[in-house]
Amino acid sequence: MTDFDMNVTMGEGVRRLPVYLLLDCSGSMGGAPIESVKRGVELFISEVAGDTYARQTVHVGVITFASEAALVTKGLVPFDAFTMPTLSASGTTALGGALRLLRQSLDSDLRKSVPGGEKGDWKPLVFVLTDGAPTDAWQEPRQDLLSRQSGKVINMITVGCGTGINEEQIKAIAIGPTFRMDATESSFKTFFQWVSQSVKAVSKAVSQPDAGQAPSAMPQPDPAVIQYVP
Amino acid sequence: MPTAVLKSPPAGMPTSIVLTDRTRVGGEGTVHFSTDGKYAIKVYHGTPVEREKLLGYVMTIFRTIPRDQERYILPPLALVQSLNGKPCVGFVMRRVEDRYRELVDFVLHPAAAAAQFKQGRTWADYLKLARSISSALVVLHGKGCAHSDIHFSNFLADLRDGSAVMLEVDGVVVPGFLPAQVAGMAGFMAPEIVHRKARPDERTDRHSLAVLVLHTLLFRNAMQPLIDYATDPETSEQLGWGEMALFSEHPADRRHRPKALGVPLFSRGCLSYTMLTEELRRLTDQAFMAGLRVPDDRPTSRDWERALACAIDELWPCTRCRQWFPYPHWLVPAERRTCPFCGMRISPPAPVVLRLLEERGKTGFYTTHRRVVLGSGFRLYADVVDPSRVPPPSRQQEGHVAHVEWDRVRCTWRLVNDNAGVITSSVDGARQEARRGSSIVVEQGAQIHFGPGARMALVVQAGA
Ligand SMILES: [Zn+2]
Repeated sequence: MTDFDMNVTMGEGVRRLPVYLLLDCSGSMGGAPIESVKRGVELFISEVAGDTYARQTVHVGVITFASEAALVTKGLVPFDAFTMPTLSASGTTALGGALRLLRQSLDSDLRKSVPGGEKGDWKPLVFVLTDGAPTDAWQEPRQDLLSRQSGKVINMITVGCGTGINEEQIKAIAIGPTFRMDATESSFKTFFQWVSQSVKAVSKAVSQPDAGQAPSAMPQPDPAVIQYVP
Repeated sequence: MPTAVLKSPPAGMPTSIVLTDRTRVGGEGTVHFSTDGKYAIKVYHGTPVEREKLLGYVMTIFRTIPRDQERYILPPLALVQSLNGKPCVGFVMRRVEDRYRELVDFVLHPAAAAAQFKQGRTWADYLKLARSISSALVVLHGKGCAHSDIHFSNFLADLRDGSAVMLEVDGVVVPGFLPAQVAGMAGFMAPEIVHRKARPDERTDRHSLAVLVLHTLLFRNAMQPLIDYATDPETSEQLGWGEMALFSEHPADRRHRPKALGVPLFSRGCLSYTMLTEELRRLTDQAFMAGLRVPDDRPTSRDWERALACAIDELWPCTRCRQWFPYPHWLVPAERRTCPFCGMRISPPAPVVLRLLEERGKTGFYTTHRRVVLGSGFRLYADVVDPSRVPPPSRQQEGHVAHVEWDRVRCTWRLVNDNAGVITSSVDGARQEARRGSSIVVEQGAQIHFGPGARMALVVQAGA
């Protein structure tokens, strides 16, 4: 009815929930898998867009890794400003580089809580999706992440997909819970559905009284598709 | 098809209910919907048998509620014995029509409200919604219960008629009788609960209700901390809503004051509670300052219901953005009166502002908090002059005693009598009289009488 131009905000003082997606774009992801990942990210966008709480708090960072790693969102972007990144598969698997970029982004893009200062961020949620062994040095960047000064500051979940996964190695790389699944289209879909559900659940949980119990607020993935690696 | 079997249902209810496949999973249980669209069923996770006894009490409490209050709440109507042949603990309630959505979708932030404004809704609809929310709490508190989990996902709302339905009535608290099942949602809990120094009761509900009412009117949490109180976000939140809780518009302590406060909402601004009617501002002060740490001093749900109901008579439309808001007659000079949404100066002619007075015994008339703002074509409804009434939720059936017209020749407002009785106006010894169909000139300072036993009006602004 009214065509008046309404320039409105999402409000002030809402603590941001950073969500990082670390996506394997190496050559072995070529063809169907990378297409599935693209559809998965689209699914994530539409799922979160439909959730009023998540939409207000979620900020997204996407790191792709092939021969090189790249923070394709250039930092943490508000969910409403987040658009589908360009994804293509080629090259090797610089997971170490991706972990390094994650650490850099945590250092520069994350707002720390300082008493008396503007509100800091919630503990970030990090999802890592990879289909093979890293081809670069990952030990040092992993150690750097673990030893970040502020201690246990992220909730990280690592999922290995496809037949190229060595369970022991991925377990050694991961920080936090590790899962594996196959590389079919439906598995990718299940994975991104789980990511979306987790993000929605955590964004709601942080508005609950016992906020911060993020991992317990997260739903478990469908064990028929995504198996826990003990 | 899934089927639920009821435990000795009362007369008029079926013994079993066929359900659709659609469910809504919550923290406590799963809600199913009947295929006939009449009922919803909540089945608790696990089989908490102790819950069944509590549900029995809740059913007894709400067995008799006045007809006009039924629409605000969803009390348990009968217990569920089994779901698909499996024993379970749950209950049946009335199904809310699909036109309702979670309140959070309308009020979470200015962008959510703007999406509604673009569909033709206005702030007046939000005012009605806030009133419905308060009315739901009036029903509960009138039964001696507290809700204990008031927040914007526990209300379903329809902005088109400003109606709201309260959810989770099964979790009501009766101190010493029905214990609290949940602590509440951060941002809505009373500071003493966050602080773990009190248990939920009617007085902690009063705080949550104040937060929710203001959220519905201002599209923000009026108690939102804007700074951190610890290096750990969880601890910081606990402190910010608890020990350090502070009203965002506290006149002396500006730590939680939004940067865009008072900037017009449609210029990336933030609504201030100073846009509200005098009575709503008074209740806000009482809830978030005087009563913040003195629960007994917080306004009751009835206080809010009444003030929100009466606020409808103080609205004025913006000629530019078409929003409705309380006419800020308290701002002087009049040049300071602007639209809180688009910032435009309110354009002339200025409206008539009446203050209502009531007769008390033989000693004369006393002023009330109520004001009525009238412009061209505005009606003075019958409920306004009836001292026993507040504006009803809808005035579609309400008669009117008079209406206001602009006199182009004399450049004044005229009050036209639409009623059988005589309307008289007197100021400085001069007297005017109007029978049905004729009118009086609205004069500054005049006392307008609508007949014996009726409220009287004092013209505090003749307009123009
Ligand atoms: Zn305006």
